[in-house]
Amino acid sequence: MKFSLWVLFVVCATAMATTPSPYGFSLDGPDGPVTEDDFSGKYLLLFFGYTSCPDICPTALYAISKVLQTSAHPDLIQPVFVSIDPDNDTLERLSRYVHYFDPRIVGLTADYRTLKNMADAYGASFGYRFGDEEVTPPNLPPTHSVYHSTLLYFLSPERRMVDVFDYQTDYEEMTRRIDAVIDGRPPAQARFAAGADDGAPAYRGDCPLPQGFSAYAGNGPALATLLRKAEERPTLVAFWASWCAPCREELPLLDKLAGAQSSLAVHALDLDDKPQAIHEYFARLGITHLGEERAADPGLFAGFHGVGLPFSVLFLHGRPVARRNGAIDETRPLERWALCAGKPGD
Amino acid sequence: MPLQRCQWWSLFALATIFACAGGAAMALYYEQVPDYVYDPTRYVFVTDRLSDRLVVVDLDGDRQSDRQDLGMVPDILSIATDFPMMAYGSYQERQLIFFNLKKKERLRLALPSRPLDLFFIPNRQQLLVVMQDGVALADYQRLALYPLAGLESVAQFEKNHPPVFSALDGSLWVADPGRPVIYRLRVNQRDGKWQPYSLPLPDGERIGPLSVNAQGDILAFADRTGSHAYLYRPASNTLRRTVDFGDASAPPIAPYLDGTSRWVVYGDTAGRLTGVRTSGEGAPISARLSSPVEKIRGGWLNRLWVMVTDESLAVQSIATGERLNSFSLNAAISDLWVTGDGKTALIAARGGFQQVLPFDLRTGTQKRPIDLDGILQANLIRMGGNNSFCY
Repeated sequence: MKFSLWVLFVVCATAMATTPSPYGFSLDGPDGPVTEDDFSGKYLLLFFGYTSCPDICPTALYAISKVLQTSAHPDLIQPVFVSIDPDNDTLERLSRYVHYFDPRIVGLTADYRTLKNMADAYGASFGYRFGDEEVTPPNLPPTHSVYHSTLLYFLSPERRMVDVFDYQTDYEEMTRRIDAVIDGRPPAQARFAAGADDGAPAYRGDCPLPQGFSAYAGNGPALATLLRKAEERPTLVAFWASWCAPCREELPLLDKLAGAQSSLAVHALDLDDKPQAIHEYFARLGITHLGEERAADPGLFAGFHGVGLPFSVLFLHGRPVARRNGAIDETRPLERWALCAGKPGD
Repeated sequence: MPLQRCQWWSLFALATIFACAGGAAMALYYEQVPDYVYDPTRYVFVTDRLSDRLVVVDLDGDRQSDRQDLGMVPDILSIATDFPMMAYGSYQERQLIFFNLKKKERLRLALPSRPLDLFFIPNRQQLLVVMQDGVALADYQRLALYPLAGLESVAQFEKNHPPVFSALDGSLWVADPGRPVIYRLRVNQRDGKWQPYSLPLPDGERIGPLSVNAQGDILAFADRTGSHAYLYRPASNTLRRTVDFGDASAPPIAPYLDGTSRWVVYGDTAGRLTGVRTSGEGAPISARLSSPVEKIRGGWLNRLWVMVTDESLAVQSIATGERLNSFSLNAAISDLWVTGDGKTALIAARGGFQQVLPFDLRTGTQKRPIDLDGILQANLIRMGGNNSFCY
């Protein structure tokens, strides 16, 4: 049984590792074809634009150049400017233009269909107009105008979408967020993005994590810093607050789980309410098995890079091993994980 | 005659004084200009349902940063994407207020009729004003109003079926309430006339609330009973029925066309949602909410649909068709706004909520509510230039 679970884990992990990123590309650069693999090991800061763009592209490129100047890790960041106006932007003109802002910026382009497919994958858009009419290649009038969406995309070396920035985001803020990611202090994982696990090292145990939980290998607080008494069992800590609408639906489920089994210790930690308010809230929801617990230091929540609520963390041997953003809606997988992970020898 | 050394020094001193004075004036100017003028995706403007207050919220730190008096309780409010100008009006008053965000200065413009909707026209410093019985262009530099062509067959624009605007081609679109005809007015053309487009709808069907993409080449609507949903391409005059709701029809709301024009989502007062690709490929994505759908928007890289009903918010994945999250708020929702980077949904709710409720769309979690000081009931939520277009 244990062996088959291990095989299943290896197969799943391999499949996940080999799933191509939707953000890959194959474009033309000054020295020939360029793919995302040419920037192996680097984070990408990517923008769609064109060299005749009057204001937004220069603003974005200026911000990129400042990020390179102010980041603690400029060597790990590869800025890419993708021209969506290949009719006018020759590779030479494109290179000259981007190098005006910083010689480390790479200018790439491609044919219309390739660019369109790439923009679609990024959720970006662009097009061409002549007067009030939309026009499409190959027969663009020489005086066509170009429009495009205006986000900067920040991708991990595994080509997962880590963050996006509006072109008007202050470059200091952008640098702060980029450096936090590179320093291993990632923002909350993009649960809804394709391939949501943005580079977090995998959970090494051989018990499959419950659906919705992702492996966590950060330096989050130990369980002992969160709870008043020691806990030896595998433990679920669910953070909540009375203003959190989905927490209202999650708490009764967790209460039932706490009362129905003993393999998994279940703790609901309030982040924001006074003890009396927690008491009244539990009474109103009919919560009887969960303790009325409050996070002694709400800052500990941030230690797990939690963004919003509900947010849950699984602990094994007192250390955080997995986390989940969003409400827990099924408890049986949690029980199964606890039964497996809590076996002696694990 | 060459200048003496002391004359050179005098000139140099004078130039220095001018440069310093100019620099100080610039510094003073920028100090007085609020930050939100330059960072439109970071600051949120929230109006009050019960007073003329407007508060500005800084999403970096989730706290209130400014408060203004508007001089009226606005029903409609719009912010220019290329100029620090806000415009607002009330359904009850024949006037419009322009609020210069830089100078914090209010300018009043009288209208011949009550306003229904406002659209800033990019790069022209003009505002398109849809009134009950006509449309006009307001020049907010000159504070002048220029009436546009009237539309005989639509004597009164309806609040529930308002005209829609496609910013990239500068067209206003409105459906005829009695016949299967859509009219288009190119507002950038001098002496432009309404151009009719006759649609081959089945007998008895009338056009419901419209949506149009920014390019003005795709219009989406369902018929007023909600039996069928359609996509219309005016350039080729082609109409495609996209969804047949059959007998289970309910009055539709305005569909949502995403920023990439790849998906259109139809919603109705029975809580039903159906998303289809505008290309016609693939299977539709269907979902059901527990109460009438009120508004549909997109989020996070155009991968999500964000929907609100009267008291809940739901998030749907486009890739999987799976419902990702539902937030039952136990309060009447008055407005929904998704930030330009698609990462956060903001909700204003009535009933004792002096707050804006933020939801992190990437993680599917609710963030701590942002308290508003000076607001009795949060009403409209707006932000400045967002992930719009550069052109």
